[in-house]
Amino acid sequence: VIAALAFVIACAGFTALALAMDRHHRVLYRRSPSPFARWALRALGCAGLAAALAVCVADAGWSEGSILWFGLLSAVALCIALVFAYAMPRSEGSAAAQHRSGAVDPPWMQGD
Amino acid sequence: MEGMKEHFRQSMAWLHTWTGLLLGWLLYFMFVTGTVGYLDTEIDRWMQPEAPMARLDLPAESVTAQARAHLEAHAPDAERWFIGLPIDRNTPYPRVLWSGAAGEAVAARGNLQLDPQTGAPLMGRDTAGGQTLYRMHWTLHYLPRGVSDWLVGVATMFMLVALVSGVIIHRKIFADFFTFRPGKGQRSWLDAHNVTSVVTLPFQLMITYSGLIFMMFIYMPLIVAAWYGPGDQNRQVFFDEVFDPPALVEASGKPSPLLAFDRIIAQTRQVWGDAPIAALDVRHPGDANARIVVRGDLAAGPLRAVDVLVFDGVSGALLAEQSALRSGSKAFRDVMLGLHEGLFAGPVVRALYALSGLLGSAMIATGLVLWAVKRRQRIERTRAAPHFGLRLVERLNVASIIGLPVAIAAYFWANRLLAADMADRAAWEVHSLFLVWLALFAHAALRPAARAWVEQGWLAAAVFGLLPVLNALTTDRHLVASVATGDWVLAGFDLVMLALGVAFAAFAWRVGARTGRSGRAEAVHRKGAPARVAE
Repeated sequence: VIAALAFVIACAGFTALALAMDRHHRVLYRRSPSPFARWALRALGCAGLAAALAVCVADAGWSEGSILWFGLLSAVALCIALVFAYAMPRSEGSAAAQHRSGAVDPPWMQGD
Repeated sequence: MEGMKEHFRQSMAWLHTWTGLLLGWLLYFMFVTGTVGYLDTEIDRWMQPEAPMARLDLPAESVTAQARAHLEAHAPDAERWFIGLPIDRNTPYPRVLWSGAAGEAVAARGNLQLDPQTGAPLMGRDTAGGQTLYRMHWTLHYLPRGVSDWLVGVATMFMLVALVSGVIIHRKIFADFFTFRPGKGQRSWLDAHNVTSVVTLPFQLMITYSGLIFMMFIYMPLIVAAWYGPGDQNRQVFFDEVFDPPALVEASGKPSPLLAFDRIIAQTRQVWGDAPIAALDVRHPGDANARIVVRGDLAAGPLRAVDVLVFDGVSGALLAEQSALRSGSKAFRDVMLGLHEGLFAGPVVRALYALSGLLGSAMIATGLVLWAVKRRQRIERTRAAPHFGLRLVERLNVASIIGLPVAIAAYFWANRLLAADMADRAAWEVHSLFLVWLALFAHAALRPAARAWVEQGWLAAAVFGLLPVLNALTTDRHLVASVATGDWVLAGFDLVMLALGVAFAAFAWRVGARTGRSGRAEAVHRKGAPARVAE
């Protein structure tokens, strides 16, 4: 359960980092991010990854928590890459695309 | 300056290409069997479905009493008894080992698991199990250790070189971090190769480097020889001094009754509290110089080392105490080995280990495919005939990348299909694996490469997807029964096999759709090929 929480937080973090990049930002918003947006997304992304690490370490201690974190990051980064590759057609408007990006989260985390 | 940098990158690219290719298939074998090794005891269980569910809650007193009864009856006058306690998934059942036993109708040495309910030896079909599959990861099974150790070592060193040079030649690690563009030929293969490597880079570096550390005494034998002298005997002296617990002595020859284990366990609890006891290692049981070595949990964390207590086996006096954490440099080695084996990993971390291993296998596979795709495209542009090297690599790729998983599935099929009373049954399970693999190499050599991918892909889908069916037909431990009894090890195995079947079917279907299209185009200007495709 803790791992699922860390997974979701890391998903959010990596999504923000991806959106700070031109290529992935354009897919959703059809334009490059503004300098401020780029900076904010990067900060948010790093904060997300750090928060995920904090959750892992709080749950399993430094030695095993950091291992869990590295493993989760690999899994999450792969998921994000696959989502951007397959689940986001270029032609869709930003609202629809944003809705789709919800697919990153596991179903039980949606609709709060 | 810029030119020098570019030259450096080019020479690194050359290095990456050829170190990756030359031993790539061996590395793929090591990665796949190593990944399987993260699930070794789960596979053991599936391959011996007669065995009961593991019980990890048994009190140490009753397990050691059962084990002792067995050893006293079947291994009298032994030099050594070893009792492993079932404390986690790494040791699901109580295990007894002995060596140097003497007497009428007594085996000098033995190694078996006990049924936790009855204390009798665990009965089940003769199987090589998940352990043999896991051990292939570095023993390469048929080869003598002197050859396989060095072959594996050279391959691992190549892997490390390929990883480092790969990082150097990857121009946009961060910009391309999440980039995978499917359906674009060579570009997609490069993306896939990059993504699988980059997202798991910490794991790949760790697993490769620690793989070398594992065998450091083998790869650098002269370090030991420099102080202990050359030869196996001197080497053994070194190992005994370094790895044996303290306070051991030779047998006295005077018999003296061995203390009850309950007392040793009680005394251990006074020192360790609730920390689990993983094993009792008894030297010279029944002798006046008997020693009882109590070993702690190897899998308590990433530090792969144990606390040790040494007791006098007659008086019960605590003679020596050794901590798992003894020095920084030893701890570094122990953590490296611990990270490599992942014995400490619970279900979630274990799943992530398996995923990282799979991605590592995919990294190697995509790299091998990329080598061939690149050259195939160049040839199609110039309309030259494909040279022998390219054809060889293409075929080796099919038969390794798809053929190895099929061969592993064949290993599981053999486990269910070979007669229960067959002589050397366990050995024939392994022979089945390699015979099927050999057949797939022959298949790949005889068929056009594009067709071979599709055909072996469908074969893989069938052999994995049908394994749960075979299991249901040949045992009473089918998926529904496993789920109903909450036997998640067996249920998980069946479900993973189904998932692999679906994944291979999706792969075969996609490759088939693609080669169907390009195959028709190709047929226009390549005589001979269409006839073979039509077969």
